[in-house]
Amino acid sequence: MSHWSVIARLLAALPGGYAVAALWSLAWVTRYDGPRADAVLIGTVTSFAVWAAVVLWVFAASGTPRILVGLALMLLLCAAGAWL
Amino acid sequence: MAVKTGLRQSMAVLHTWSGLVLGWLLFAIFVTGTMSYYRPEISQWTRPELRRTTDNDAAALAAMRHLQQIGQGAARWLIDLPGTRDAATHLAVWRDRDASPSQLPRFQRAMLDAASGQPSTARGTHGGDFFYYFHFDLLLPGAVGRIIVGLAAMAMLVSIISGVITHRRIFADFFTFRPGKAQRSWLDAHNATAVLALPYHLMITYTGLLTLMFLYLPFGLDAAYGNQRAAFQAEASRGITPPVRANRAAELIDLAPLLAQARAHWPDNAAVGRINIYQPHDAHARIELVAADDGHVSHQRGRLVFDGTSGVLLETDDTVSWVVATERTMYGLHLGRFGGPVLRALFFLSGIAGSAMVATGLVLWLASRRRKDAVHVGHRLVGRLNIAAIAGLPVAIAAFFWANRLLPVNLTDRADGEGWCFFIAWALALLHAGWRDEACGWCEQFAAAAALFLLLPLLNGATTDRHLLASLPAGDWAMAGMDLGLLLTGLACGGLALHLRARQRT
Repeated sequence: MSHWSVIARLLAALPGGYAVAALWSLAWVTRYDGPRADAVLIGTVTSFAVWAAVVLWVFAASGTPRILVGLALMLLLCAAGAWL
Repeated sequence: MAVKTGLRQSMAVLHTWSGLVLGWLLFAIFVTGTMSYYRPEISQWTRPELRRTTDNDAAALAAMRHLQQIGQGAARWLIDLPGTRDAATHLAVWRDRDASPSQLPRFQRAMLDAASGQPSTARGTHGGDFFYYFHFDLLLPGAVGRIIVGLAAMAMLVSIISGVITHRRIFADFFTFRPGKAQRSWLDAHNATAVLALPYHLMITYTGLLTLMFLYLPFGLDAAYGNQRAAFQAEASRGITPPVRANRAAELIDLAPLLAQARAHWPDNAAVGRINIYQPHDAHARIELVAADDGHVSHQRGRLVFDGTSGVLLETDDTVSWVVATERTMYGLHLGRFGGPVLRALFFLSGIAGSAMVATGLVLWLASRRRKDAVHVGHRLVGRLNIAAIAGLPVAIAAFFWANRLLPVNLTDRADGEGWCFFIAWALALLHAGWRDEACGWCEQFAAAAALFLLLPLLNGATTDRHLLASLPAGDWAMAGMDLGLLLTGLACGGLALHLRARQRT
């Protein structure tokens, strides 16, 4: 993996993963059928694992198109959970 | 198979870069965090004028008397009791913007000698709090430090997971140690310290992120509660909803019966660790008693809320949801204040293993590049920074303790002066690392740290009457334990210096 590839992936993984994690925590608040404090806690506590998982996946995936499509899908899915 | 190799390769890249970029910072965070397991003991050692008391209730009542004097016009009083491990009672006072008389500060702190109940006469020092706050905010203003530490923690989390994937043979590697083989030995040491305490590393990194999770990811909380965070605090068992003032003056009820009632209410007669008093001069005053956090893992801790004028018990947190209980347990795991001396020592050792894992990782990064590539100016820079970050830190820590004993007691801003000594010593270590050649730099800085640490118990004896010959027979375990810990740290640094010198000669 070239230096440029590492930097490009980091640039995709850090904000991309953060956005997925943020939407993930929002989706829990929308979807969880229980006390709202619990929804906030579950969503936020698990969101760091989601963020880390996205970072790892971006580095494991092969090829730029796959990474971009994958990130977009994850964002869409979590956004749908949060707002639909 | 090709896919698997590719995965391991990209994980190795991720592991290397996430580890290196924030590695120096992570080492300092790990070391100061590990020290924070003994924050109260460090505070005791740095305030030798104070002696521990066993009467927590008397300390609480004395604190209340003092707050009646200094806490006029307050919206909230806070009392942190010494418990079984500290010798000081810490007080804080908050006032609303519209408080009268208006010349009083919005926020004010005070410290009492818990044994006498009088304002502390101890030397000005931040004590164990210095390392505790450095650990998560780097002593930087605002949220800057906390955000940097959060990024470092994320890098650590990603590093750990990608490291595990990279080292497919991780458990076999753990039993492999090839000493005296330069880079192989560093790799084996890195693997051993990583695997030895792997569950600890994962736990401490993840729960560390959780301690400040709403700074890093506030979106869920904001969506659900908007600007009503106090309601969340109450529903998630973190605090009470502050009462609205009745604007009728009223006297606070005597605290002593409430303390007794709290002990009877909690299992195992847990002691009160913290007292919050909201609107202390108002008819709507509330007294919140929080159990000491040394009794159980969960940081839910047990909270009782009393009406401050009638003494009626209004709220308990005896029943919380499994989610709140889980989150409070994760928080409590990070703080590691539960459990006895043995468990604390194991946590401390795991923290040391984590620090060693980061340090050996940094050294390894450089060693493997030097073997493959031509001489590179970047490598020299990384080499020097490694020395200052790894060997310079113990020098700086020792300098803090020396300053604690040697700075004049009546110095203005003495507490911050100790902090400056820490940073000046660290800066000198960086200069020294840049000046000396690399092998000498490592040896000399570890040797300096060893000398400074080994002499600290003697300095303690020369400047106070609480040296090892007095503290050991008296069973004064905080003082004796600190002195012995400083000696052990000195021996470890000395051992490293000797080992490195022997390798330099061959």
